Amino acid sequence: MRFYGKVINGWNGEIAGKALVSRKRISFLGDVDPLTGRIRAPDSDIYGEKITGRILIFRGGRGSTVGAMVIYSLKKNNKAPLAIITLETDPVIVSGVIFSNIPAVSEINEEVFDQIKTNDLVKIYISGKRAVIELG
Amino acid sequence: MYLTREEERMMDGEYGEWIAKAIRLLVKLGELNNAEKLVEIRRAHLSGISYKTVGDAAIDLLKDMVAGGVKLKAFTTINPAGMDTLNWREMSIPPDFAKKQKELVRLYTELGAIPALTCAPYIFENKPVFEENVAFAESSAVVYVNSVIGARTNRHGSLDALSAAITGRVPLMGLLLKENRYGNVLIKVNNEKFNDSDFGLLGILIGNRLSPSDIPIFSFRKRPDKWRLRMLGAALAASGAIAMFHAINITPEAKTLKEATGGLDPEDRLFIDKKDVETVVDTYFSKIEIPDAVFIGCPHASIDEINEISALLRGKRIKRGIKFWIFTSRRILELVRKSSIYAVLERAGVKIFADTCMVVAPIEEIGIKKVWTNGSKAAWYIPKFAEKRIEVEVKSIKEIIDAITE
Repeated sequence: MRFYGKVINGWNGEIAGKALVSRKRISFLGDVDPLTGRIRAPDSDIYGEKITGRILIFRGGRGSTVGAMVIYSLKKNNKAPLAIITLETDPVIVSGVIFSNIPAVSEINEEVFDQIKTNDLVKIYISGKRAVIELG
Repeated sequence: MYLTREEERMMDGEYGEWIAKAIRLLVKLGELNNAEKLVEIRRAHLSGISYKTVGDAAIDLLKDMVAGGVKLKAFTTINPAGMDTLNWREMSIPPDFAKKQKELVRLYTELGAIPALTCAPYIFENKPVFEENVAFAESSAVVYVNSVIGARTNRHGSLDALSAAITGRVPLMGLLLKENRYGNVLIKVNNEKFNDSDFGLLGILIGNRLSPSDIPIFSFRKRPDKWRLRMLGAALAASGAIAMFHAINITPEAKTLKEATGGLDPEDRLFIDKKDVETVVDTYFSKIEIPDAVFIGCPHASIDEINEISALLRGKRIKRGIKFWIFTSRRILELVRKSSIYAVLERAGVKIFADTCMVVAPIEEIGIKKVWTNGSKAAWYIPKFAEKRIEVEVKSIKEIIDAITE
């Protein structure tokens, strides 16, 4: 199973890691604890999970524009995800991942929610202008 | 996207890691919006200054930028902080907060920003002119400079405005292009009975109805002054992400309806009356018998607005136990202090604070529960920040003063 997306912040080679998948939007300010990398929004479908070192797949951004700075704090505190993959392109997330050098992809198909589950092993790489997301 | 050789050098990191990140962000935003190229700007205004809203995340980022030797290329002012930087004790700001806030302002000034600490820099400190391309981030200032001044800015987030200030560039897209500045929804307003606060309520009403890409065109029966238009714009931006409006025969790109639409017919028409804006209070805001605080100055009060309040307060005294605070810029506070307005306000029991406002100061931590204000933007945000521990009602200045003075 393969998904294709737009490269938001590029990287070299192949990145492999465990997925953390949320069907919802995330406001990095408030929803994520920058000191621990834990999702602390009670209304999140991945409440209590740690985003650190995982390939975080979710719908898109919500809420505060300060979210970009929180993404930077996560990176500084070594709590950032390995990569960020979203369905929607959100300017707050775009600015956060670029400032923090976190690999990021957007505009992947909604079907990803049926095919990739939390803790599945996922790898991502760039082919031409597109980002490729592969299961297993 | 076309880049100059200089811009390519920036991308490649020849001027350091931070300039590379900043320009990469702007190029990415440009590509996502099909921009042809970047254009140079000479002025910027940044949001994300209050420790209450940006917290330690911003301190982490700015410390690294200062250590990396970043200097802002554009002339740059910054938004209000979370407290009056000189008089914070009188606002009952906790000392830990004050320490962090001072650190945050110091870091911005080390980058080269001017600590105007106001959301209305277009009054004195940072005034764009007609058709000038700028990068402004404060949403109420974005609407004001686009609509009332006719300068051109997109609705920037805190980091893309910072990137624009660092590189002196923005992608040529959106509201920087004349073809995207035409209005599409005509709103006829019978404002004959409108008071000062009704313009903000109108903004909440329309902001909720339109989508972020809409540009409303207002046709007013009676000509409002620019401070009332400012209240309208701030509320449009808070409730609906609107970045620009026209007012026929008032704002500079709308001498006629035809000029405002670019010759096309409006896609939609609405008719608004005093009774329509009154429904906004019932739908969105609380009803409060007696407030424990009155907050004026969202956006930061102009000298004329402070003068209006002082005229209404002449010879009166605010009832005990009710705080009456006006928020403005340092520069305006100093001018007011030198004028006869100040004595009237002081005698009535009014306090004026600079550098901050009721939205970005940590008012939920200083025991305030019930607020009256004439500013709809503040009324929109305060209950959200305070997670509903604070109730807010919008009222006109005259109604407020009649009810709480003796």
